[in-house]
Amino acid sequence: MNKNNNILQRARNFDLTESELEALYSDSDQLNQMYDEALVEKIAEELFVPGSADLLEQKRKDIERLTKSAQIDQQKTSIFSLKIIGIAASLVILVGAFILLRPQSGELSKKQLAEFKEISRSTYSPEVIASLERSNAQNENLALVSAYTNKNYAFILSHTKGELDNAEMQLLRARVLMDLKRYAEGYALMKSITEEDLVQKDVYLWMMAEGALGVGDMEVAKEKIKEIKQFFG
Amino acid sequence: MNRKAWLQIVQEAKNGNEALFSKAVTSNFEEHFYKSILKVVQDKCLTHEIYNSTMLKFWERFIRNDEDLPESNIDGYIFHMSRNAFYEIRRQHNNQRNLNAVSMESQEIVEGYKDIHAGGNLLYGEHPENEGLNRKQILFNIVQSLDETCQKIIHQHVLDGRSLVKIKEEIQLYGSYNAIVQKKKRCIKTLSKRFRAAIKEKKYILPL
Repeated sequence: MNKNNNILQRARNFDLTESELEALYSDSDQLNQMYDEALVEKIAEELFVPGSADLLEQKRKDIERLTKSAQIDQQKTSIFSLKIIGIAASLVILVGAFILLRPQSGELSKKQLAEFKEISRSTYSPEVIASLERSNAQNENLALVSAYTNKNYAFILSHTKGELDNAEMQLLRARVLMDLKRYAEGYALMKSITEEDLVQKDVYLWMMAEGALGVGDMEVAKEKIKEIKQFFG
Repeated sequence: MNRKAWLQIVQEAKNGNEALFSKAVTSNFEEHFYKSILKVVQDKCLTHEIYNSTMLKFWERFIRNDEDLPESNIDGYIFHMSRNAFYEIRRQHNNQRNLNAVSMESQEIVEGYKDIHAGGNLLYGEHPENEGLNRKQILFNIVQSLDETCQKIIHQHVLDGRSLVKIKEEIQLYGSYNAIVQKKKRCIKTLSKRFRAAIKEKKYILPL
């Protein structure tokens, strides 16, 4: 938004894109200029709007208090999440054991595959891609997040065609392909992703295992399941 | 939370009812942002810090300063703001000069100016070892250079707490109440411009 505002004003408004952020925060002259401008703005504000700094400070405390109380709830959620992870880990062990007990068969029942897929899918969070492109009303990534939430897979596939230079976008496309049971394509795409480029590294492991199971690549599936177990300690 | 809901929350807050905003700050953190930010930064304290800073900026811009909300998905935009907050906070941890410090610095300057105004202290006493003008002196000089009405607004409205209506009557400014509000805005603009110029001319001494 406010594309016409100068970059320093937008920086003070927390409104820069990723590339602008990187450029600004590596330029100390620009940064100093930004802080000088911010200082001027604050002084003028303080002089002409009595109590504005106190009001802002009060609001800062209010918000801190609110999120602190949310943290307590978050701890409850975390306990709940840990239970889920515990259940998930147990399921992984079960699935792992099942694979190990079925030498050479290379197959899982549809039900087992569906269960594993459900766990894998629940770990994926599309919101991460919204941060890859920001600052204007035409943020296509937000549309992709919304499309994923609404299971509008056709939209995602048509907008992630061709070579993708971002690992999170590749992950999204692979997620959708797997949701559509197009495991071979999804798994092939997963294999082309560089794990280090991802924010969602745990999701990568789950999806690699899911993809491997989907195409009957049991060795890789076992390996990834072991990695997941290690990941969760 | 969709845009319509955010519009209502912001409007209510502008009307003085911030309960919905407070609720949104908490519920959004619990439901989306804690997880999303933590996933990126891998640090719980930093996650809180980023979100707090983001929502304070959100409040400052869209509620207090009455900026229009973005047309796009608001939750997505908040996530985008949080990425900006992350950069700024990371700098705060490594560098003294940052937006937080600037905020405190400005308060210190204005408080110093108020002291001078109230007690008529010596302007050159702040850092006698410095040859140049200090921050309060710069501000004092700039205020002195403003026109009479601007100075009256600062001294009577801001420092002495008189209402703008009374000042408007006193200075016989014609037109509606908005006339004095607009005048005040022009004063802010002029003061900002002159202070900015002073900084550029390096008349201003940065804090150690």
